[in-house]
Formats: sequence, C-alpha cells, structure tokens
Amino acid sequence: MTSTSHIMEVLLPLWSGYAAVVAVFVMAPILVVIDDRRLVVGALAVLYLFVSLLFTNVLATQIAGIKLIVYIIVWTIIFICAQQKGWGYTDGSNEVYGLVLSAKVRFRVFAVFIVGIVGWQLVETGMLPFPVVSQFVTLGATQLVFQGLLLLAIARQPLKIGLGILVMYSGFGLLYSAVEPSLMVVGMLGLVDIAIALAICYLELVWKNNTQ
Amino acid sequence: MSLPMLMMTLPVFVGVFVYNLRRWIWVQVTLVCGAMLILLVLVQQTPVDQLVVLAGRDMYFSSSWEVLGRAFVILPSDRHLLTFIIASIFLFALAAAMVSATTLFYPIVLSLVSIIMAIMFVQPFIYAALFIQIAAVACVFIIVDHKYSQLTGALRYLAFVSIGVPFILMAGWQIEMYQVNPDDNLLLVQAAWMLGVGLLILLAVVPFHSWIPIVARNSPPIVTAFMIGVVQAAMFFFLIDMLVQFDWLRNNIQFFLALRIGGMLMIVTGGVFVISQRSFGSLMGYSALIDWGCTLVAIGLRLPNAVGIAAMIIFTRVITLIVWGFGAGIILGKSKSAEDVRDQIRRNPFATVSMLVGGLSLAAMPFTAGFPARWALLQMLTRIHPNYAIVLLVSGLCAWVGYVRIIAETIDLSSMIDGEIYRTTLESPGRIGLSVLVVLSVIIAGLVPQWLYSKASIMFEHIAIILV
Repeated sequence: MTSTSHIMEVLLPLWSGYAAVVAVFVMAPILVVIDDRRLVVGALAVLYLFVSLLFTNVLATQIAGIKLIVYIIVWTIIFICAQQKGWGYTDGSNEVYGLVLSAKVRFRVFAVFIVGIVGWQLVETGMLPFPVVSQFVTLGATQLVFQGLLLLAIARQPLKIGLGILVMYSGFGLLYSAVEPSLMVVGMLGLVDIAIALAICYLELVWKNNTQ
Repeated sequence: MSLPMLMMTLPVFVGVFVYNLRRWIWVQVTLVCGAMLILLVLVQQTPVDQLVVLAGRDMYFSSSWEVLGRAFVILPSDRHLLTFIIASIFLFALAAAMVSATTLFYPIVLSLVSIIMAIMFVQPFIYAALFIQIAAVACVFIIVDHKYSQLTGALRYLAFVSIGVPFILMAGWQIEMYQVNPDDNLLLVQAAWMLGVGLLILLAVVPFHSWIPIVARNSPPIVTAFMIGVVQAAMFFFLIDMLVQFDWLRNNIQFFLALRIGGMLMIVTGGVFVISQRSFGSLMGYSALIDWGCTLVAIGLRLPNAVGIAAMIIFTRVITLIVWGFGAGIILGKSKSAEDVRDQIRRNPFATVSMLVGGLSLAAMPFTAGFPARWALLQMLTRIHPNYAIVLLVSGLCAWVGYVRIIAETIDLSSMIDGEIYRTTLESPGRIGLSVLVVLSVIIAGLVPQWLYSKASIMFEHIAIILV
C-alpha cells in the first residue's frame, strides 16, 4: 500500500504535467482528422487517461479518480458502440490513396492547426474568463474545448459528433473544476458525460440500421 | 416528507414501470396520465411547511430537499408553472396515444417531468444548466427511433444545447465571484454576457434554430410538438427564474435588448423561410420559430403587460401544438412521400382539419387561439417599436401565404367543402370526436381569449409584479 502511494506520488507529477498536455495536443487532432474507428477509439482511451491525469492538478486525487472511472465507463460505451457498428472507416471511404492525402484530410489538418493556434493565443493573452490554475492545464483544457468544437462542427457521423461533445466537455470540465471542485458538480458532469455517450451510442446504432 | 423529493421521484418510478410496459400503449397512457393527475393534486393541494392530518396521520411536507449540499426548493411561484407543465404533458400523453410516436416516448416524457422539476427547483439555480443538458440527452431518445431514423435534428439539438450549457455554468461562477467581490462590476458584465449567450443558444435563437425545422420535418409530429411546446417552455421558465432572482439582470437594459433582437431575428428568419416550405412539418417548424420570436420580443419589452402576453403566447402555443400534433400525427406519421400525404389527407379529413387549424393557429390566423396574443403584441409594438410591428406583421403574413400555398398544392378543397369526404371517411369515431373537440377548443379560445388570458397570466404574475 505504502509503495503504491509512493509510486503515485512520484509518477503523478511526472505524467500530469507537460506530458499530459503533449498527449492532448497529439490525441485530440487524431480524433478530428482520422476517420478510422480503431484509431479513434484508441486515441480516445489515451486522451481520457491523460485528461484524468490533468485533473489531478485541479482536483483532489480521489475526485480525479472518480473522473477516471467516469471516463472508463464512457470509453467502454463508445468501444461497444464502435464494435457494434463495425471497425474501419466511419463513412466507408479510404483516407489515404498511396501517399496522397485526400482533400478532406488536408482541410482537417489545416483546421486543427488554425484552431490550435487560436486556443494557444487565448491562453497566452489571458483572455479567458477563468482563473488560471497553471498555464499547462489551461492550455490543455483550451485545446480540448477548441478541438472538440471543431470536431462538432465538421463531423457528420453521430459517433464523431458525440466525441466532439465529449472532448469539449472534458476540456470545459478541467477549466470549471478549478473554480467549482465540489463533489456534486463533478458527479453531475460525470453523469452528463455518461448520458451523452449513451445517446451517441443509441444514435449510432439507429444510423447503422438506417444505412444498412 | 420532502415535497420536491416526492414530486421528482414519482415520475421516475412510474417511468421505469412504463418502460417495461411499452407494448401496451393504453396501459402506458393510463399510467402517465394517472401520474400527472397525482402530481397535479400534489402541486395544487399540498400544504407546504406545515403539519397536516392525512388519513388520520400527522404529515409534514417540507418545501426543500437537500442532496450533497445542494437544495431542491419548491417556491410558491413554481406552482403555476408546474401546473402548466403537468397539464400540458397530460394532454400530450392523451394525444400521443391516438397517433404515431417513438417507442420510448412515454418513459422519456416521464423522466423529462422529473428533470424539468429539477431545473425549476435546484438551488443555486445555476446548476439547472446541468439538468438542461441531461434533458437534451433524454430528448434525443424520443426524437429518433428505428422508424424515424433521420438523425440530423437530434444531433444538432444535442450539439447546440451542449454548446449553450457551459456558458450558463461559467456565468454561475462569475455571479458567485461577484458575491465575494461586490465592487468588481466587470464580473456582472461578463456574467450577463455569458447568461445571454447561453440562454439564446438554448432558446434556439438564430443561428442556433436549425434543429427546429429539421426535427419538425423528420420526427413524429407529436414529439416535435412536445419539444417545441413543453421542453422549450421549460427553458424559457429558466430564463424567467433568472430574471426573478437577479435584480441586476432585471435592470440590465442590454440584456432585454438582446432578447428583443434575438426574438426579431427569429421572426425575420422564420418569415423568410416559411414562405417557401413544401411540407407541413417544416411549415410548422418555421411558424413555431416566429411564435417563439414573439415570446422573446414580448419578454424583451420589459413591461408587465408584455409579460402577460408572453405567458398567453406560451399557453396557446401548447394548445395549438397538441391540435397540430394530433392531426399531423395521423396524416404525416405514416407518410413517406408527398403522394402518401395526399392519400392520407383524402382518407382522414377530420385529422386534416385538425392539422390545418393547429398550424394556422400557430401562424396566428384570426379566429384561432394563436391570434389574440399575437394581436395584443402587435398593438403594443405599434406604440413602442413600430418597425418591429411591421416586421412581425409581414412575417405573420408570410406564414399565412406559406399555408395557402401548401393547401393549394396538396388538398382538394372542393371535396372538403362539398362535405362528401366527411360522410365517407373511415376514421374511427374516437378520432373524429377528438378532432372535433380539439378544433372547437382552438376556435373558442380564439373567440373568447379573456378566460385563457386570466389563467395564463398567473404563470408569470411574480415577474410582472417585480417589473412594475
């Protein structure tokens, strides 16, 4: 027990710092750009893991643990949903023709880049109406919100729109937990995440029946 | 015993029961209507915070329920709003039994009753935003099912609400900060902005309105009617609650200006698009957009009389939408193409009349329930903002023209006026009776609106008094 808590004490600061922000910077764009469900679901798992680690900077470790449990539930729902619908590309189109990227992918990469810069500039200029707990948490949270919004705006499939909402909420949750760390709010936001995942799963399955 | 706890848990329990009985539609309807009647009695008759003798036992109904440091409190002003919501759901449940609705309609409606109560009761009320998000998620399950599988409307609705809710939560934090630092007025300015943006998104102000016509076109008509009539009304009550609680918001002229501008945008957009619609669903959707715009303009005028008009518009909209949902549910529910619709119209003349009267009432046609409140608003605007009045008049005319166009295209009026179609109809006597009843109620409400106004204006009496 003591060794476990010792490992936690050593590892948490290591992984919940800039490493987590880098993970957010890598995984959130994958969710936006890539349509392959295997990659999307995998990227979501990694993203949620590092977002949970970022939460340890703004919440007590035990409450951050609740967030992790919520994210595990959400990810499981999304995984089952993707499995039911079938792995592979969400719209049946091949993304990469040899070494040539499709116009859609090029546009998305450009959009991710622009949105990333906008989010970064918002943090740099201090225009956010939130208290900045730490620069890197705010940076990670802003990226999540903006990349989530982008995904919400450009996706057409229920799964990806749902992921956009979930990613946006994870970023907002990071910002909001800094100002409202009560258990009730964390629990309610977790409930909202699970409810959204269920609704998306339902819509995805209806869509599957529709397209078949 | 806590009254909010009793009222919020009862629909959930009945909902679980109803979910397991979804093959027996009339059992579901009976249970939902029974639950609504019990809630109505609880709202109207339960003495709060005093000892009463019930069936020989001492009972104490407390007005609050504490959960994890947050309280759900029923206020005296909530009773009128709850009566309206519960009575509306009772009528929607009855109408839905006669027409095609989605599989999960009844259990979800019951869960929505609990969530709407949570939105109204929760203190600090800013947490209502989280319940609004959960309500939006629940609505997804009734907008779409295996029969009505067009997802765009449900996805847009969910996306827009998800964007709007964080603004309200952020505003809540800023209001809390202001209570700590009362000298920092910037916090209040930011809070007003956040609340305004969040609310305008939730109230489907342009450009966040696009889910309304899509849902109206692709979802079961009775579900669309329920969403526009009841769920959106709950969002509006949230706005009213905020205006009642925060005097700084009530005194913020810019906030009311934003409401007026938002309302006018809805009216203009509705008017522009309603004229070119080729389906009864989207026609109703854009007419509803104009109607909701009128509600926002009325409240944005910041006058006690205008608040009464807003209440009247909301009240008549529900009646109108029930009538439209009942008729359109029969006509549009099973139709896949324009030819199907024409065929259903030929077979169901009474339902057709119900759909048309409901739709025209929503478009504020004279001699229907929707007209008196629209006329009163128009008169008020003519005195205060003549430009708004002209825009509203033109927009209303566009809705009428839209209806005239679609009636000319799809309905053989000569056979309807001739009367033969009514004698040879295969509609069941129950449907015919209900059609006649609802159509008469809309016309009577249009001819004698005073009684309805006195009932409707009570809903917002508390805010009207404050505005005076």
